[in-house]
Amino acid sequence: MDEAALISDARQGDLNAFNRLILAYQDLVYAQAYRMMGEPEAAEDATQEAFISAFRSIRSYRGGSFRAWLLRIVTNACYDELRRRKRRPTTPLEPMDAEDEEIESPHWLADPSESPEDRTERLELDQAIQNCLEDLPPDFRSVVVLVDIQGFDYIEAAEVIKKPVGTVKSRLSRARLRLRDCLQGWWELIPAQFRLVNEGKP
Amino acid sequence: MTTNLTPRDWEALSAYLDGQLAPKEQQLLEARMRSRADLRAAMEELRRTRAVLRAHLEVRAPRNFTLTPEMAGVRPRSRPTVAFFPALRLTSAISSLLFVLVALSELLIGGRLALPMAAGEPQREAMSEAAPQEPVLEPSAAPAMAVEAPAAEEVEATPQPVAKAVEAPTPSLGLELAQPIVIETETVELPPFAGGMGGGDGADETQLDEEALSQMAPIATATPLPTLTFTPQPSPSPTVMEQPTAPAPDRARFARFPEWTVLRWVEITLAIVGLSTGLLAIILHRRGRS
Repeated sequence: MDEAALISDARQGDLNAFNRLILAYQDLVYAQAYRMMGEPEAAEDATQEAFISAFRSIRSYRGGSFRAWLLRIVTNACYDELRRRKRRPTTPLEPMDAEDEEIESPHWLADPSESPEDRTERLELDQAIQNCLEDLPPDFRSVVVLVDIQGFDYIEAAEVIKKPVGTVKSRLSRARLRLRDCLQGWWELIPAQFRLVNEGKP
Repeated sequence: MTTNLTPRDWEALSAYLDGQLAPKEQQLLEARMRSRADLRAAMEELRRTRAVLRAHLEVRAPRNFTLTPEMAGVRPRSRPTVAFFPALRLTSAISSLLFVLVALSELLIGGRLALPMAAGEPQREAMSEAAPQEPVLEPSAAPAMAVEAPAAEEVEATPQPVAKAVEAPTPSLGLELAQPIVIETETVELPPFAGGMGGGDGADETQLDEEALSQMAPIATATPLPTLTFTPQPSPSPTVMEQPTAPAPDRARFARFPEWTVLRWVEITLAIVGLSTGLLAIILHRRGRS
């Protein structure tokens, strides 16, 4: 069944149809939440809350990009949680293993095909990028995640954040500039193919 | 080296990297990059930054986020209708069973009733055949019949419709019938009589009666009430009408008619209830499964 039919059924209250939409978009929505929140548990909570909110307000969906509509809901949920945390600062708990040691990256991030060295480097790079993302203001962070990580174009990103395309362009350039500065100390972790970039046209 | 760039330069470089610049702006920026090394270096740094982000580890959902009805705050749709399924199934089964029982009982009862009826037909035929031979009407009783001289006088006086009700049996008639019989004669228009009123001798009256009888005979035979036949008797007042007899089999049939109707209606009702509830139960069961 195509997406339009599932959306139509979900608008009529068909929970099974909406769950099929969830299965199609849950990776995208969770990735956005994770990059925004920086914590798996918080990302899960935000994702679940976003889907519940989306089902209850699906009648307000007026067409257009459904994934943009979903990502707007989860991004707003992340904004709310980040604002709440700003009012009540907490110390995030890292996942613990069997020996009560902190796990820097959850098990679901592991790739069994890679070597331990590669996995360590990848996790370090991932953590470095995540730390740099978390240093960005939420408005910048959401745009750079949408465009540079999720692969949205400017128009769709503008639809998600409900701002003009010019705002997306401006926030994205400033976010990239800050990320460049943040990642200066992590270049040795970046794979060689990304370091050997030819100059020229995009 | 890139510290001399303005925010507008960075924004133009970022948009150029994504191909979001207008053609005119793109040509202008490319011309500037050819002449300025700091722009080219800034472009390279942005390209690497974007490449790192795009090559970032893909994050997948650690679990399914599908919603349960409780989470979504909706009630299960088919619960109320599915709850009727056992009741409908039971109703259908009971109705079907009752239908079979009623149908069987009707067959049994109908068979028992049919035997006496089948045996009664020859009896009635024999009775109708034997009726002319038996002295059904006593000659002395003939004047007591409703069709007697005064009635004939009425016929003679005015050609009025004759509608007589004769109740039989009476002890004087010597008829042995199980039930009182009501005989209704048809309304007959008799032609005016040529003779005078109350006058005339016995031969004239006999002739008159024979003529009246000959006129009434086709009427009597036209009625399909067969059993008892009054034959003309040689009597001083030989006015004899062929009277239709009591329809005893018809009465029995009419007596059984209400019973038959009730049974038939019960059967029809049970069949409808059984079929409709059965179909409804099947539909609800299929909906519940889907």
